[in-house]
Amino acid sequence: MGFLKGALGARRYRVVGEAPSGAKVQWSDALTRHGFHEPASAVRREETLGWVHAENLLLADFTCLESWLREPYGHFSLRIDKKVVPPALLRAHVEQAAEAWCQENGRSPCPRSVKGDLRDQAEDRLLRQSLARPRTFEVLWHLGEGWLLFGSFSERINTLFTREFFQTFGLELHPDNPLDWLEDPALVRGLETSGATVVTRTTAEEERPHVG
Amino acid sequence: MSDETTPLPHLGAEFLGWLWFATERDLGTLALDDGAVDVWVDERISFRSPEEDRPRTVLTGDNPGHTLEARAALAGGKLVRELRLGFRREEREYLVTLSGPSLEVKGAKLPPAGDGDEESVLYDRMFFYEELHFLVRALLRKFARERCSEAWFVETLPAMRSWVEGASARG
Repeated sequence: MGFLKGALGARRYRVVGEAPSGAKVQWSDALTRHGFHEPASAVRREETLGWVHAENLLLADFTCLESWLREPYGHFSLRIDKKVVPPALLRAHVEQAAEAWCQENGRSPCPRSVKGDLRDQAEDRLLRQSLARPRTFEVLWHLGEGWLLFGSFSERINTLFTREFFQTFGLELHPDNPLDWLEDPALVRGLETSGATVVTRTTAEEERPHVG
Repeated sequence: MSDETTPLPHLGAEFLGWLWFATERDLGTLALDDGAVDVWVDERISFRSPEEDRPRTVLTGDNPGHTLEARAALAGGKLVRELRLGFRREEREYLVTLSGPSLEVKGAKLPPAGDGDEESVLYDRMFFYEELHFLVRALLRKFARERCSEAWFVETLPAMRSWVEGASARG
């Protein structure tokens, strides 16, 4: 998404809420508390997320202000890791284990319940061997003006991000609304009450109700 | 402004359609409160049907705004979902895709940043991003003023309808 290089694309938010006194130090501590940490269990399947430095996804200590503060901006990233076992690989391992079980026990086919246990064992073993797939999404927060850019358009990732941001800073993020750019309540009212223009109809009504 | 406002579902499509029209009507230079900006439709237009937000027709290549397919899409009642635009102000040139009801900034190509360290590159790029966002906001205000004026029904709308049917935006 490229805040530092390349094409830039980002969802823009307004940061809503009161900044505490000594906000920057408190936010440094909050970022560190909610920094990314490797999960305790090597077989964890769920996503793991937390804040990391914008320039290095291995660094999650923000106690030094310079690690994230570029006055008037805060610049850091959300890291989301997930371990996934390729389904084809898992299926092959389960089939192999089931075959071995049948030979060992002189029975065929392998009962469904046994196969389920073998599947769990194989998945745990493969998860232990596999590396998590890390993804990072940049955050650029204008601390003075209260707006923020987030480098993803995925609704799911944005939901995770806004939730984590609130848990970290106690501040809500509201998606930017073009009506707020008008800076004139009369224009906002005018657009809200005018309906949508239908340029392709020449004889019908000039406007229609809002459509999605 | 307020915390309660929600994006109008049709606003993005209507603004982008008007902006495309206005770039032709005003010969590519739009007057703003604090000066003028050159604006052109670049290499991509995405349309949607009025009932859903998914792209239905995508036109790419040189000057897609001048193609028969583009006018046919509008004449068929399709709405502009995404518009790739170019802006030039003084010596600074921007390319950006504006998308959806929130007019999200996607794939923005900014003027080159200086050769400094990462921090100065970030400042340069944020300066450019903020100018780009300022221009989009200013253009939206220009649209809103025109949209809420009497001239919308007397001049703009008839001219847009003729333009959709193939006439020049200049009338």
